[in-house]
Amino acid sequence: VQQFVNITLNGVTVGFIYAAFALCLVLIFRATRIVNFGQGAQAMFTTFIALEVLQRTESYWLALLAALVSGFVLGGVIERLIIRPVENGPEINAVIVTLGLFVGLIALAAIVFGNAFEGFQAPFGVRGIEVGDATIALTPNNIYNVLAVLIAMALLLALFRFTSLGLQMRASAFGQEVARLLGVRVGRMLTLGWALAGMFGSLAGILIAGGSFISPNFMDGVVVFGFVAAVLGGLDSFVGAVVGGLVLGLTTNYVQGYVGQELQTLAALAILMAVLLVKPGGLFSSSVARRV
Amino acid sequence: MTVEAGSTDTKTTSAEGAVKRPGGGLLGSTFLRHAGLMLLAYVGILLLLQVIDPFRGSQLGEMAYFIPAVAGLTVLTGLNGQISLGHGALMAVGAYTTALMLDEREGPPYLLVVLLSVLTTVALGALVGAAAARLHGPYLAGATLALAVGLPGLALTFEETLGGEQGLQVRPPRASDGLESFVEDTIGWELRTQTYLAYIGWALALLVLFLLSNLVVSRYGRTWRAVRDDEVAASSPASTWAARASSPSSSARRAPAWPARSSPSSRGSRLRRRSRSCCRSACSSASSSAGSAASSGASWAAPCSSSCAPRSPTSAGAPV
Repeated sequence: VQQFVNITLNGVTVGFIYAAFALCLVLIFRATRIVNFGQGAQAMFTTFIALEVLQRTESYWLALLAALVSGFVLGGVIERLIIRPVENGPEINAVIVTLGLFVGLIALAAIVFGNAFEGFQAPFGVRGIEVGDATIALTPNNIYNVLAVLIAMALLLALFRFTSLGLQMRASAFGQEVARLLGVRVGRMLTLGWALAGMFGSLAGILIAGGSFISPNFMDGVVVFGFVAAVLGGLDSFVGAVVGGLVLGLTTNYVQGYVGQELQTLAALAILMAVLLVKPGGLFSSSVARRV
Repeated sequence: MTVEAGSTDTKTTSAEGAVKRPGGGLLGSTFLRHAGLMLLAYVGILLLLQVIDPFRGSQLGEMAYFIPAVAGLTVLTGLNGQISLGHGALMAVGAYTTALMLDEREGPPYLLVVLLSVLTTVALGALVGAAAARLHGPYLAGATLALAVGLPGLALTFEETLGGEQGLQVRPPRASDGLESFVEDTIGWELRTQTYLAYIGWALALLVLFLLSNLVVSRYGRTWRAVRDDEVAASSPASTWAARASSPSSSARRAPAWPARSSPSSRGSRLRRRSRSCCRSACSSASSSAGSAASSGASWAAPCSSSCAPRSPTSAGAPV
């Protein structure tokens, strides 16, 4: 029972991080119909920046702030300079450009920050909480991770629901031309969307890094799982991304715990195929009419 | 809304089997033209391999290993518009199948090994294609990405047969003694292992290019392009018929446009038929491109004599 509880708790923690990552993808996909494969590389880059700040100032919170700000700026700059020219072209162009971003940023990070693994200290303890005489795998750091993602989600939701800016962003995602006619600066909203996604991604990056090692490739696995989580949820729905992230986090942890670590990614593939074969648009997709 | 007839640059009459250009003689036949070009290229490469030193020769051979995979990806993504990030996984399947069969001392001859691993990967490609044909755009990208990342896990799980992180040691195939002495006696060329592999690699690469280039100008190529340009229009009955008819240019003119008025019931059945035909086309292109990826993997697996072929499952299955 104890093992099951531990695995489940781990799964939920990991699931929330996948969900955060999937949310960035959904955020961008809703606004621009582009899947940003470079998201993980962006987050990796900002985590390295955070590490620099952490080593200089010894303050985790300053590092977190640095990561969030640099994620925001990086996301906005990438949208404005790199994505804008391909935004209205064929779908494949944008996909290839973001893949290029993925490869390019990793190479750049290796040049700037080096290829070695570097430790990233966790803000809270990584020892499990003791209940009675058993230690369960719920560390203060895990609780912090889940809370951070939840707070970020709540803020994002509040932004979209209750502010005029959020309304404008939703409008430009819903119908660019109509929004433009009504006076929304659509281009600015798209840049803002990418910037927000970059910020959210850098949060996910720094949460994953806490208590482990980072290297230019440390986000690769998360990219795949986050992407699978987003696709599971339908790429179009925020709730779907969270549910997809949790499902994926739990399943991969059960597979890891009971079957074997090597099959983790294969299990993700199996879930993805099973869901997509039944619902080709993901779990939470609304049916869309195809036009000729 | 009909199939874009102008996208085929040669006028083909595939229904009769004979493919002729109006007014062309022997060069008018697509089949012969492509075959001639490929033979010419092969002779050129054979001559080049004699002039350059063995190390450059092996580099030239390495170039050949990637050609089939790239060509297959071009057909799948470029012509059929189906994005695939999982071709590395298909290459890995080809490479591992080849490596496993070459491992046995008294294994089958190399070309048979290549054929078998191509068939294996085609089967897998058809399977993946059948599933992937239901998806499009980012969903397809996600599924194939998961394939590319997930498949190497198999090599880690079955570590005893597949070698785990270290990969497999591969015995490089050698020319049989008979062939070696025959070539030496008749032309006077020495068949080193590296050059022998370059010969085979280029022969296979050009064969794949030849087959694919014929396929691309055929009825299937036309259907693929139609699916890429507009999936819904391509699967409408009129254009399916147009794509199959003898001459695309004339049939496109005759083909009725998208039926504007249709009763709900007939619409339903048409929708079903439509998605099926699109699936079939996507699937067929997936498996044909899987085959070429496999031969890429097969020739990739072969050459490294002392090191191991798929260096590690992750490098073999790297998505990009």
